[in-house]
Amino acid sequence: MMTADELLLAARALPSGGPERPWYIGLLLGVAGWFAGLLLLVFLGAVFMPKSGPGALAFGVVMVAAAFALFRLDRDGAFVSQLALALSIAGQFALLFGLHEALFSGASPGIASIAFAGFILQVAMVLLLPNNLHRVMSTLFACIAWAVFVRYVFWDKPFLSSGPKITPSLGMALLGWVMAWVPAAGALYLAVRKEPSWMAAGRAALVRPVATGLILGLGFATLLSHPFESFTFWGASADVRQGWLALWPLLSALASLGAMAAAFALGSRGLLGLCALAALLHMSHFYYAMGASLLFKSLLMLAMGAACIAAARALRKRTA
Amino acid sequence: MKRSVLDRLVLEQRLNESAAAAALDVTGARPDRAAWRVFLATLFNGAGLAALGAGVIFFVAANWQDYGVIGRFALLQVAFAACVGLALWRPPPGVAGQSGLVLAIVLAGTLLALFGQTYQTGADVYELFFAWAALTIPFAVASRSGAAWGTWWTVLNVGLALYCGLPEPSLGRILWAGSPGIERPTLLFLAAVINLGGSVLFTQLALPHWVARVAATYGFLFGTVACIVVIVKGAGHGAEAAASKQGAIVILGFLAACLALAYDTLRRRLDVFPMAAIIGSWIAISTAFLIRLMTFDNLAPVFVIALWLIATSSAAGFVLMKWVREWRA
Repeated sequence: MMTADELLLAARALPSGGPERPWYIGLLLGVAGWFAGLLLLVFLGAVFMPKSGPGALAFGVVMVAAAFALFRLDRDGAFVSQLALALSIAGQFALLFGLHEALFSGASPGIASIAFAGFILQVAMVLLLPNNLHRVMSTLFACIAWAVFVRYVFWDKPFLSSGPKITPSLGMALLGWVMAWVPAAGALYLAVRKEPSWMAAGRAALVRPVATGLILGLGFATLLSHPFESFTFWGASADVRQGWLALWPLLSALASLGAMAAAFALGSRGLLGLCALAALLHMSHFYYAMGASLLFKSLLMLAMGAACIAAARALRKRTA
Repeated sequence: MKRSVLDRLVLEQRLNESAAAAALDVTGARPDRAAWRVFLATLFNGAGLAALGAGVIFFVAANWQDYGVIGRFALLQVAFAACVGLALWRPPPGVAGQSGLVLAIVLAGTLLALFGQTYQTGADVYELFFAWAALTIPFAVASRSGAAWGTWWTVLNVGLALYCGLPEPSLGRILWAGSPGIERPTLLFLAAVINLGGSVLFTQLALPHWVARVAATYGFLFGTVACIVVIVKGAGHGAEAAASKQGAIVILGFLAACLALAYDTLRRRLDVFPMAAIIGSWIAISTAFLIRLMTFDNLAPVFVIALWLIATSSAAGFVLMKWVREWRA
């Protein structure tokens, strides 16, 4: 077992592998790669025209394989990783279509089945493609796909569909949110808790970007699991469901606080700031969420605020 | 110590789980119990203050119809006075004073909105935001806080965005920008200059890093939109195209502003963020220009744009990471 001094000496003796990529460069590359991927999909899709499920699967596999090869060639992400990212995005759309056709052919295409196929695809991408930015994006998309799947399987209908929509009870509203987001929160908790274990097992290149994607998912993607009509800020209409779904923004704000704690544990100040912004967004959304009276919301917020301040004081006393 | 270094250390030295845990602890990469307590106390305090503030706002909104005009003003003014009083009692740089001034900035806007709503002053919404910014600048200055400056700067930018979005025949545009014939892209460009200037100023004032970044982000958003509007308008015909005489000035002006900022950033070698924003802006502008140049008779231009995005973003990633490595060394 190395002593602390030996550890520090060994760390200093490591050849400089370069600093981590700042979040804003990742954002720039991610956005550009995503748009380029969509354009490539349009172009290559028009050239090869894969109309059937197997055709689309084959087309997608070729694109993702090309992306995989490019990522392997350019491990530092210096030259061709943007091309690889764009190829992968284009390939993933084709694979999504192909997977959906293969898994659910014959059934009427539903949002839940597409979301489930998307979830499987994104998990596979996380495991397969050896690139940090790609793994972060795939994890984030996997979170979104899972949340959309849970939502449309259990209680929602597409926004524009006709007929009455289900109004969940308190239990269903809580259960729905728990099913959508507790798996991601649990995975993140394990990632933080078991950090030395996966570092020692040589899995940091896989788990670290996954943890970043989960933090972003818990911070921001929770917005996507809310009913669309909860974003209509122009007064309650007959179409707006009244019910316990109003609690979801508050639960999402709490998830953002949890994500902040994970970002702190993993030493990422950038993610910490982003999650604080997400928590504020959720709190503003809570004001507009239909289903509970403003008075109830206000009492809930006051009680929570008082509890938080009391907890902060207690912690400060223990620190002093 | 950065996690990336520790990951490599653990891998190269083949450390086991307990040694990896020790490496995280010894290098201070993993927060200890005391650090967690301080973090959680700060987190709970911030969350508690935000929740209490939101709770009060929700309560006021819930009972709004029951208050008369006097009651509404009294309520907001009492809250405003309490915030200013708190700042006087526990002045900045204390956290209580700074928080009080941030809330006072927000409440001043609420009071102005209530005034406008009650007495139907006929003022445009952008005027509300400009008046709000003008009246609360002393609070931002007194606070010596990034949060207060960030809030104030956002108020100013909402006003600028609303003003830039005004339709051309509106009174506000004729009064302030109509007579010299200032077009929308020029207004957007001026908003960009204000923000980029603000970003430089905030850096000079040694305010927290992120405030300068927020101002720079607003500046690049305005500047990029200004240039794209010029390019898109150039695609028009007749009067619309002829009206865009200021387009060249806008594009050259934004280019000059970007070059000046790039020069300053490269000289200081402190933060790569402005360079990333400059490059991102020009990738967007050049892509818009390419789209404007091409005719979409077939799908080849789509492929060209995809390649352009890949090539420019790859080059951007390479250059930006080179700077990150060199400047942090």
